[in-house]
Amino acid sequence: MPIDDIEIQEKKSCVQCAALIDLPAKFCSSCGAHQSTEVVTKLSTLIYAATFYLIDIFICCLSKYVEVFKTLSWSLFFDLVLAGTAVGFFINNWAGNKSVLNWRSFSWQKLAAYCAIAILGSLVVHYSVGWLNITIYSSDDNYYSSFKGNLFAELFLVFFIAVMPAIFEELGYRGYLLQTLLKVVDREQAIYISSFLFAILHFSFVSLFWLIPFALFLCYTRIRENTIWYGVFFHFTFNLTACMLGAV
Amino acid sequence: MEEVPSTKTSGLTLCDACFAHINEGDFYCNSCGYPIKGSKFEQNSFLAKRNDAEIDLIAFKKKIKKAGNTLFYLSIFFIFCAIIGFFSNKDQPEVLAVVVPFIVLGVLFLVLGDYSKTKPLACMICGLCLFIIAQLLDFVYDPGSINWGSGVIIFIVLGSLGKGIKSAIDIERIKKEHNIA
Repeated sequence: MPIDDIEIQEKKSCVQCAALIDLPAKFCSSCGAHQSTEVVTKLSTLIYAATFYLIDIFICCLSKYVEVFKTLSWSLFFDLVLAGTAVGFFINNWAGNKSVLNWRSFSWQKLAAYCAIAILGSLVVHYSVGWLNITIYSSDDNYYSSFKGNLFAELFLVFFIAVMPAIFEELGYRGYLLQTLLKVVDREQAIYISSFLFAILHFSFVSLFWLIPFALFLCYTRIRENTIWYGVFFHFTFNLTACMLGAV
Repeated sequence: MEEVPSTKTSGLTLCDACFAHINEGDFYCNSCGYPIKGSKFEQNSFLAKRNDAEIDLIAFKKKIKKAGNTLFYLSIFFIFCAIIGFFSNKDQPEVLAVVVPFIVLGVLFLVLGDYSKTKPLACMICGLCLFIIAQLLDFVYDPGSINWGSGVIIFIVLGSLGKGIKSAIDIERIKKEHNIA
């Protein structure tokens, strides 16, 4: 390849006068124009992400604290609304988000390792949370108690606790929210913010001791593997183990 | 255009505004946009604008500091609530259920306040969301707790943290636009 071609590849055209300038240049050295091509401001991106989060808070609050909505059919309705919100926001910036749905680094060994970590983590969390609940609240209600007496209790439990959150929380928080925050802040801050927001959305300050590390792990997995799918399986296995331990 | 030589240090030509390295033949600094070969008037007005940006930076940093202090005040408030909760329920079996959430909130706001010195935007966003959820849960468990007095305090806290978030974004924008370290 001629040397001139190589030199041209290391340069870019100015957005205003089209003069060739160095690739990392922030301003054109010929006309002085700023080279930022960011059209959407960071504040409006943040407001958009905040809308997604506020919708989630509102729906979770309704389903968890309003007595009228504590039925199976309402639970299904709210889960579908949460899923629709996650999918809607994700699809709205499809071009920027679709890359996280690829699974080019798929490996059975890795998947098995993530599932094994999830089972171990879930066991530790189940027993430590059980102990904390008895110590602090003098009772240990688990997910299973909400479905007790229902004909398909186990089936509903797996659907509402393991399947839906694993897919749509990953799509919403490690898919849409993390991807959006990466445009506004650096990687480290994006991971911390999305993990923290995910953890506090569970409305249990006592459970933050495991929810924050859990969310951080999922974020790091998503960033490291560049896909949400390992996170989906990890989350599913974690919640499924919790369901099984609760049902025993 | 009047040619004005820029700062020269051991053979390297440096920009007068941001001290980045300048290539010979450049009309503008490619790091900050300083008109290297511009007239004295162009150069002075560029430096004046840059000074204005630096003054804005100071104002925004003050707002961030105020928002950071709000996180500390919230921490003190929740620790205080935990102490009151402990002494008013110390003979009750649910004393831990009252005290532990307040302690967790107090510690979280303390950590966020401390960490806001290095990563202000992340801490302001997390602090704001945590405060909203804490107030929401407070309202759910005791709707009577929201009155005019607490409403004003909530409004002030939300405003302070919101301003902190906006200032943190503005600081980043100004630093990028003017290549200020």
